[in-house]
Amino acid sequence: MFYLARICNHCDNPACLAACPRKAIYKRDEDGIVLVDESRCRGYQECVRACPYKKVFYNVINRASQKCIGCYPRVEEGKVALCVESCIGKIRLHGFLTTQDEPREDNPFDYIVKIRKAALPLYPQYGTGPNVYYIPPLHVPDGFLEQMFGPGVEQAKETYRNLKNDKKIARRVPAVRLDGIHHRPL
Amino acid sequence: MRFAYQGLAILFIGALLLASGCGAKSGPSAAMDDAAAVDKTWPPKGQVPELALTPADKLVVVRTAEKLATDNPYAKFWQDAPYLDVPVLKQNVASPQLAEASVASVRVQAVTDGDNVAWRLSWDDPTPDGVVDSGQFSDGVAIEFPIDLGAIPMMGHRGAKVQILYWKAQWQKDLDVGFQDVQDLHPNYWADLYWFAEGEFPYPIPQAFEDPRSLQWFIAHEAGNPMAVFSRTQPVEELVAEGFGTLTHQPESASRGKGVWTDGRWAVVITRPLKTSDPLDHQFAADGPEQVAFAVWQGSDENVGGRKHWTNWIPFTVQP
Repeated sequence: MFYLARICNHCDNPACLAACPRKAIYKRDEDGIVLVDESRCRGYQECVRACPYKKVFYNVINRASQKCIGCYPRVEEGKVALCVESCIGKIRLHGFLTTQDEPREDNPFDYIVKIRKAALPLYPQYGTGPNVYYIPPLHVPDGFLEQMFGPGVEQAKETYRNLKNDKKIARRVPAVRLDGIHHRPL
Repeated sequence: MRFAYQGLAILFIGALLLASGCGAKSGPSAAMDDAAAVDKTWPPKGQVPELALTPADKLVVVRTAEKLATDNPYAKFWQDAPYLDVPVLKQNVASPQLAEASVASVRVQAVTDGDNVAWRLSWDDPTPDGVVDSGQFSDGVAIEFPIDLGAIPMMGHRGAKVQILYWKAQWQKDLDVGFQDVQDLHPNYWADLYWFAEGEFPYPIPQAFEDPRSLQWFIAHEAGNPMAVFSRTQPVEELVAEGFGTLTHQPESASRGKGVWTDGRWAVVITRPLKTSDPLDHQFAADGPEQVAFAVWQGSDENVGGRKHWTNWIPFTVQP
């Protein structure tokens, strides 16, 4: 058993955005955060139906749908999302990838996700391009993890197990400690 | 050291339990006692009169000398308005589509007293659906008129608007038995606290939410969403559209209505002045060509939005 915390993945091709017949969901240019326009939603629940991660919820009192807002007011101020900051174990990192196609070695997120592939997207086979990446838990059998994260699980685990000897990660991700990846102080 | 913390936690929780034990009755049982006093049966039980209706082969808005009732689809004057049964089609032109129709036709009647026009729509529906929750949808019916000549009946098109008068069973239920809150849909639901709300559970909406700070988490309401209205006065909404996805709520509405479900059939009356000064209202003309279209939603069949039954333009005349 293990706990998999999930938030809205603020996908590259959000199913919720495509499903809304009124275009009441949009993805921001400045930070890629996907939002429901709370004044425009009429509560059709097409987005609720469409999201494969089921991260849009219909609000019975408002009679409109709502979802994780990526803490965009905090992100606009240069802070991380509240769920990232509140994590007691400090196991969440929040930042920007450079682009999907041209990762830079000096961006720690590009490095972990795109270059070293130590963190993997959840259920990538849904095709929405989720932007929350998971370092697979070492104690969970590969077979189980592969149906969630795909075939890169074994290699990701190896990278993680080998962290204390991995000079490249220590250089590229300055906050890495010998016992694991640690988020940078704010 | 660990065990000491656990010990402390148990002590703390114990103290809390002791403190809340005495005093006034609180909790779900108290709420249930109060709820039993108010009759929340819906649709409301009651006899409706038998109406002797006569069929017609065209749609005519019949002139009557009586003052029109805006809230009674079983008023006697409906017997003077011959009906047209209009077949409805499943909407399968634009996504999201309706896969299977569950309504065959809608019965249409219309009456005018020279100032207002009243439309009566009735159709078979074995279940009255006024609850909207995750995966559950409301019954509804809508009347559509062109605002601009030549507008297509499928929500109008760019450059040619339509006006839509929309009745929703959920809003009818809000008016009949009170605003449908979470505890009406889920009787065993319980909320400890709503910050800045008055009193205690069940925190009736809107009375417990006078303090503006208590509304901050009702985000659609705070954003001015017309769906998030807590004190609705009519179950009918006026809308304008100019093509798929452009449906827009009209803040000023002269439309009134009421829907009554009885014995497997909905009957809904929607009334409106013949003429208004709103440029986004259709203006009824006694001499001109008139067209109307209808849409019906069967909530128990997951009908919502574009998953609906619709009709093409039906010509009608208004008796002077």
